[in-house]
Amino acid sequence: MKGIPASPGLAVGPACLYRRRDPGYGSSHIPQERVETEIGRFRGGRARAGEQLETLRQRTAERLGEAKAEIFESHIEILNDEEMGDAVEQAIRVDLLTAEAACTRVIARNAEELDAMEKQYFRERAADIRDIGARLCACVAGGGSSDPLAFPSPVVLVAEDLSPSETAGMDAEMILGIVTERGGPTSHVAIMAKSLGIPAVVSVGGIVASVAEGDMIVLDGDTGEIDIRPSRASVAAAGRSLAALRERAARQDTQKDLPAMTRDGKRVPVFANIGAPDEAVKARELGAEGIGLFRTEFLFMSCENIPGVEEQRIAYSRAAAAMGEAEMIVRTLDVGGDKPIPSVSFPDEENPFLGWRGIRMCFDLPDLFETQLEALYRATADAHVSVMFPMVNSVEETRELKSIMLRVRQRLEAAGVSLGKEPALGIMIETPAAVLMAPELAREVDFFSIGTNDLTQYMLAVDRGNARIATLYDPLHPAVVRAIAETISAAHGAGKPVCMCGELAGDTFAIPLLVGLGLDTLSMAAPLIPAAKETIRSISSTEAQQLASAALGAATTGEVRRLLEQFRAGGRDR
Amino acid sequence: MTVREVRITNPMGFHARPGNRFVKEAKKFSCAITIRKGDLEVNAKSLLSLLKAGISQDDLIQISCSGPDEDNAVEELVAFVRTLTE
Repeated sequence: MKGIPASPGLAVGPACLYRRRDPGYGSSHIPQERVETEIGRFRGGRARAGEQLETLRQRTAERLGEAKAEIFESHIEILNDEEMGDAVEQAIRVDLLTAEAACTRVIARNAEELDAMEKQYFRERAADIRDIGARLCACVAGGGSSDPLAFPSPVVLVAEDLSPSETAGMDAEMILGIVTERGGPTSHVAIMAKSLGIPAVVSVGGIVASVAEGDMIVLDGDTGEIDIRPSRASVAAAGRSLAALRERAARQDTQKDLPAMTRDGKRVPVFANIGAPDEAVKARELGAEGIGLFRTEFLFMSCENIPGVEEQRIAYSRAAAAMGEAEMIVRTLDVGGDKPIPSVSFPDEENPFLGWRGIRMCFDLPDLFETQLEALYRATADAHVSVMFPMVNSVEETRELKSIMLRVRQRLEAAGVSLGKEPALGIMIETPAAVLMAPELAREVDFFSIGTNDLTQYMLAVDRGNARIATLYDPLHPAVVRAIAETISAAHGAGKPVCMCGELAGDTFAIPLLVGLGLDTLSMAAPLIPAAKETIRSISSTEAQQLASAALGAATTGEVRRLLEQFRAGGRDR
Repeated sequence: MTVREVRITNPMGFHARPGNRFVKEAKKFSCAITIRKGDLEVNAKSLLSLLKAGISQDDLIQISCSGPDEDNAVEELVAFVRTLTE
């Protein structure tokens, strides 16, 4: 079988099927004399579920602080809710249902009631109830693992799809690889797998039905190929490739602290994309020369109110401290209806990707926006921080951003707060409008950063999460390549640098083209850094420029790819 | 039975976290406690019921307590609602 490669690497191991909802409990009925036994099973399962949630609460408190862990306190409260407990026991006693069936029914009814509520933030609690219910049912049924995504031995995880909280909670050490039936190459699971260094293939139609628990699977995260119950010969071959890959990784590892420089001496620093302060430490270890994209959504995701100035400042300063003198580019809050945060009530939108998101939302929420900017300004006192704004379309928006920055700065100065150097101000180039206006925008800001995921989606009008059209989503489409080139030439015309922080920047196949197009910095998920550095160090910038000129003349995506393949093959001969 | 009326002023209403805190407060008392919002009356010691009541900013609710510590409970819970800020 074949899917879309989502995170590079090879994995060989037994399949573990992950099912979110277990429909197997159904409406199984029990004889009258089993009522007390079933009630006992329900109470026992509920107690075990409570212990698991308490473990999760503690783990979250240790990793992210008490405030983030409070959500699990609510979960524990709901799990032990007296009304719910009574309803379950009633369903067992009166309707003679098994404990699992009774829980499933009560949870479903409660979730449906919440689904029907008018205010979005109550509606969103339906997902919490279902989450609690799934755990409760699993515990009642005797699924005793402390976490649904913890595994006793290494496995290849096979799932319909994985939600952000599922991927966040998984034990990365025990997951050799991930295969999902749905999702695109930039879906949440793909991004998480990449940052955890786990090979992954997504959008594999029919995989869940074709695999049985424990089946051997060979997964190639570079080509998207999946081999279920492979022959002994292919397992052996995969084992050999895995060994070769490990050897290559070891070689990259010895080079990872060398600067990223082409054979003819052009520096193209390699930065890391991070989503939490702790990731900066790992990024540094993997050879990151700076942080090109610090996503700040994590601060807002698990918090029901806007995190305060000091809480944010500490997070920014912690990440910066791990990077020493190196630059750290912080992107201001970038959320929208497709990835909401609890503290903001999002309208129902027909098309959230074209909706109220990024700075459009921040402009409307001055408290939230200025709190973040104030924290960033305060972080400049002891760190080299740059600020970057998402979803910018126009010069007007850019000027508005600058005036807000100025206002925040003046307020802090008036209050006698000691600030460091004014942070460099950059914008993401991710819409066709920004590309076309790049010459004018370049005069307004200090730097550009190209977000290839959104740029590709908006240039090509292809929803990057839609599996049916996933093959149409290709950042090597000549239109996207030309948009990147236009952006770079506009920035360089104004003497401003351009970084690329989208998925494309970490793709070793594309890197010669990106270097040839003239990008000044490439920023990527930390595990991709060693291979990216190795690629940059193996090429000549002059040859890369020739490749780029040829690619800009290409009429089809196929031609662009062929040019890159020829370049790669030529590299082997050189 | 002791009944008091109070208006919800915090922006989040009884969303998961403030709701959870309220239920924890209510559970400190042995008396039966209900909350009435319009025609709806729910058990104040059940977070799920409280969530389903969808209590939001500017809602007027009635807290009814019935039991040995009812006076104390009503006082404390009204005071608690007034301290909610988030």
